[in-house]
Amino acid sequence: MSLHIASRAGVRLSQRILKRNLATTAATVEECDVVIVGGGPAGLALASALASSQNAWRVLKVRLVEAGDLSKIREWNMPPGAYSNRVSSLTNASEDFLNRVGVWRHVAQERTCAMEDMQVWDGISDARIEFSANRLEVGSRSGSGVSYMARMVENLNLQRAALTHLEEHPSIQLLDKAKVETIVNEETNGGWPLVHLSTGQTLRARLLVGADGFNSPVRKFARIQSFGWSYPTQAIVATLRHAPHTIRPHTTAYQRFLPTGPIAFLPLSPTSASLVWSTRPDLAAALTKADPAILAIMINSAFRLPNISMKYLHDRIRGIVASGATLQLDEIRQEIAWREQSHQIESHSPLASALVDPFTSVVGVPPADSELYPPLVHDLQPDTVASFPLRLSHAESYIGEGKGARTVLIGDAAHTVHPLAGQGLNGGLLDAECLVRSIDGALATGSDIGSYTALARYARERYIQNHAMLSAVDKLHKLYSSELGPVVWARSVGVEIINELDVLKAGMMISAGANANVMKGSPGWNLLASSVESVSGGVQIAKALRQGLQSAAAGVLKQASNALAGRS
Amino acid sequence: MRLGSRRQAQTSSPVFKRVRHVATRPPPAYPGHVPLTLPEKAFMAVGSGLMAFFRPQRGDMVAVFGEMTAGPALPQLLDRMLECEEGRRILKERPRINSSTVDLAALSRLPEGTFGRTYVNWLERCGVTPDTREPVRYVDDPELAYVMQRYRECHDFYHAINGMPVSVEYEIAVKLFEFANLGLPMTALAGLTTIRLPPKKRARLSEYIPWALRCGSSARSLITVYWEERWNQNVEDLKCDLGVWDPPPPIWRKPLGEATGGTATAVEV
Amino acid sequence: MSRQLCLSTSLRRPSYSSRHVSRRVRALHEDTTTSTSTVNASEIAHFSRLSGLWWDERGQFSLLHKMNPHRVRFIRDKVVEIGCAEHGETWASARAALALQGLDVLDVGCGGGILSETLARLGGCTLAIDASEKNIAIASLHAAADPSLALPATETRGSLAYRHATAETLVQEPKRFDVVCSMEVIEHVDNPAGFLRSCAELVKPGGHLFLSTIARTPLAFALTILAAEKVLGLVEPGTHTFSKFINPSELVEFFQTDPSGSGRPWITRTHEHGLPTRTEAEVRGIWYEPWGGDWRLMPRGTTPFTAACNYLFWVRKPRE
Repeated sequence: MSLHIASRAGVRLSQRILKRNLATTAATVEECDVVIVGGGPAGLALASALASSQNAWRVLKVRLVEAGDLSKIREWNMPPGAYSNRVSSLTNASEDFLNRVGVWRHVAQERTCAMEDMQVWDGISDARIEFSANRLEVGSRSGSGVSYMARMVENLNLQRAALTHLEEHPSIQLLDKAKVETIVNEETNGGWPLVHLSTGQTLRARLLVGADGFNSPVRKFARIQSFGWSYPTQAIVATLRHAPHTIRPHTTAYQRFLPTGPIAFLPLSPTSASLVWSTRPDLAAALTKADPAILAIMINSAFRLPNISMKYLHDRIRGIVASGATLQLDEIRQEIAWREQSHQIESHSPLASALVDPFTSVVGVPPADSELYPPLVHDLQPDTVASFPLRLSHAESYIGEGKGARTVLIGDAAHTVHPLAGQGLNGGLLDAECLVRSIDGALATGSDIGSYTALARYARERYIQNHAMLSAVDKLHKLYSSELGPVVWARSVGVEIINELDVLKAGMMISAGANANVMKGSPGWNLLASSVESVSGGVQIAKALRQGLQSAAAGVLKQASNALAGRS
Repeated sequence: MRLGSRRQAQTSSPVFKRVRHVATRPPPAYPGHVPLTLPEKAFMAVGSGLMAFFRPQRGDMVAVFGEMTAGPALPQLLDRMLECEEGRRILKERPRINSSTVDLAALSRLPEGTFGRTYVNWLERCGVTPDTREPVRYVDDPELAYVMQRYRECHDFYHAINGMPVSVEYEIAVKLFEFANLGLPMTALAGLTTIRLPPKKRARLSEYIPWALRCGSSARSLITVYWEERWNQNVEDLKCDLGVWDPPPPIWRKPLGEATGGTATAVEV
Repeated sequence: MSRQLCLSTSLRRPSYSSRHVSRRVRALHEDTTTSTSTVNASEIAHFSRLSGLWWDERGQFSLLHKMNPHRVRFIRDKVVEIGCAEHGETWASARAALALQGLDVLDVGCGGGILSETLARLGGCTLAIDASEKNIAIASLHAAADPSLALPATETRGSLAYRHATAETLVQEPKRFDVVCSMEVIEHVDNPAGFLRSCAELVKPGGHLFLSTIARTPLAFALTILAAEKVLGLVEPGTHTFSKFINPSELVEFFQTDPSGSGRPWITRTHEHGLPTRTEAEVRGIWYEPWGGDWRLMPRGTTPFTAACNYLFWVRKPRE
């Protein structure tokens, strides 16, 4: 025992400590440096990043605990053309992180899909914003030199890749089929957390990482409060099958903001896409229970029909369900066809869907503006329809204190977010990246990686970023839930103006993680250089602003004249 | 002074109370070193600054001004050098660049496209030699004095790899490039002389400023480059290594000589 | 003033002093203290009261906890910088993970062991001493909870031992150290020159001495005493005494003499702003940035302007 103490009090103390150490070792307590609870994407990313870090894997004893059976994920296999319904849009910043860690090379690339363009529009005013990674020159470049802003990846594809990566790093042990029974504080000896597992093992953790999801037991142990709220919204997810695109490659994502919630079409392959449709819980229940063919035609109309007709359809569905009848495909199709008729949507218009055969629609010359809408869905991949409630929550702190010391939260345990911007999984990955950076920094200065000081940097950096992201997503949700005229007008004018300003759009994409390495040169110098350039370029911005305002004003005039015409 | 013997008044900074009297002027720290007192330094800084501004062709005045105003920038350059292996080797070996240490004839025999050949071509085209550099005299710390010397002697390499002539507008562009890259205040003040340029030259310079600032700030710190070890390297590979990209093509007053080949970016007029 | 005189004279080695004045004052000085120990009894009592709070990272010592990684980085970087120049690149790259591997390290005035534990984790065979017995008890208790510190040193691991002792008692023993650290201590001792001489004596030839303290400037008074202790209450009132603060120039000047009696000054000459040569000694300012909630070690070049409050000091004992 090198911890020798010369003073008398010290000797007494060390004898007591020694006794206690002997007592604890008798009860088969395993000393660990990092215990990660949860084998989801965030937990696995953290374990992978620790495995690939410079020093951490060598000096730290890392254990990952997962209640489920990880071999199921390791052996996960789906036939080509079929996709899991839990898909995330991985930002380039996240992809870059996974690449550096060494997980990315294990991801089945053919099952991922680069997102080059994005079409986002207002369900009421149709004000539209288009993002194109190629035109704005942001985002990562693929091998063929095409820029993309994000990449659609199945969560299981990522998790499987992380597990494959971890197989090469046996220093990090995965304890699966091991449920966390209890987490307690040591009563003496420093008060480190003791994790008791259903397998009978007990882990003594220098640092306990809660990557255990929304209902995080680790967060409860650390007595960290979480605040937030549920949205009166349910998200329907499904894997869509559609006719191949004709004019554009399958790299465009579409999102329409309906007052009931946004509906998003995220490309997976030339003939498949992932759906995330946030809508009212009663509608979600009715649609997920109904014949999948009904959901398919409802999806097509939700991207196309004016809001007033969507409202009508929603009311019809509610009426049918309330009367106890089941939804009939033909009935709904007739209703949609009637609404299309009353809006004078002709059968070859890109807005027509009810009576169009998705396969014939792609033959011949496509109708004008068809690139503004996603291709027609013809059916859903079986057993992929699911729905879950949407909520926003944020832990009060990411680090436990006092009795809950030596705990840290990442991923959904720390923050849960409305999926409308696809930032949920990315947040967890960036948490893992930042935490590993903090751990590495702490090791470099010999600090205790479980100490508050070592973790403070992680908490500070990620809390601010996640909070900004959560509140932006929340504000966006609230802004687009409104049907109030002035609100719709204001948000539409805003969107029209932004759509004209490439610089601003590029900035928005970068802040959403489209760029892998945020800025090569220091931002200050770039700003200075840009300001020298824009002395002459300033005129352009003014021009764009004027155009945006003009088109918005024209829109208002049109609305006003329509209203007058309707009244007379 | 508390721990010491004397109490001294007058300060250069609150914690380093130290005024050198002429009578107590310390001995030189290295050959050629001229230790100065604080008032002398102030006088030299102002004087050389004015001279450099009104007579930019007075290279000696520009050099003195650079030494006087280096401030915290020199130790920062030293830190950059200590951070990487290549830089540490330079500090250890302290190589010098002049026509006795660099075999120009050998360099001119290197294949076209190598850094060494590019450098010799550039020297010929501009009609300059590597011997025009003033020795450092007024920086007290010998190691910092070497860093200053190294910066000065490497200046021509920045011209050469970027294919920039030595006329005043390009000189300012390179100085601003250096400022963004190395942070020596003197190089920024060189930017001030822009106001004394004729409008045509000023317009040409403004094309180079964004490049100078962007490229300079994002490139690797060039003081850490052991140029003499890279004579044989392809100049484009070298630029790629350093993160330097081409400026807009400059206009040379003197057309490219017959056999020299010239730099890749040069445009004939 | 009398206190200043005490200090200024106590720094002179009495046996070599030839000045009447200093002898007289030294006599006065020794009248007031009963032992040769430089440790002030009331200071020990003060810290014993606080020692239970040492490891509350959000409490009384939060500023110290936050400062620790920065001063450790300074220690690590300086040891590696000098080692790299002396033993070559391979020596340095072998120490990428454990910078103090195989070095004998002494932490004088370890307090609760905040610095000592980190030095041991960086591979140092660390002995940590403190004049307060309670501090040693607290530090030992805390280290015992950490399995990585309770093991003997190996090639890939340092070790940690605590002792209730002072620098003066260690000088009597033969053991000398590659690295001696005394952080935030010298402004609490009565006889800083004697204390420094003891620390210097404990360093092996070619070894390193690291100190950190506060400069005696109006700014430091305003920040460390007025703001931190009296107004904001970040630090227990009475922790610092302004007149005990020491300026960097005073440390530099002290080591320009021959502090360990080896016959050679540790600092041979100074340059701009009275700063020493990088390979002999170094001063670096360290500032607390309230907006970021963290300390910041200032770059070398800014020392003349930033070493005006808290600062770190490193000096190397010349090889024989």
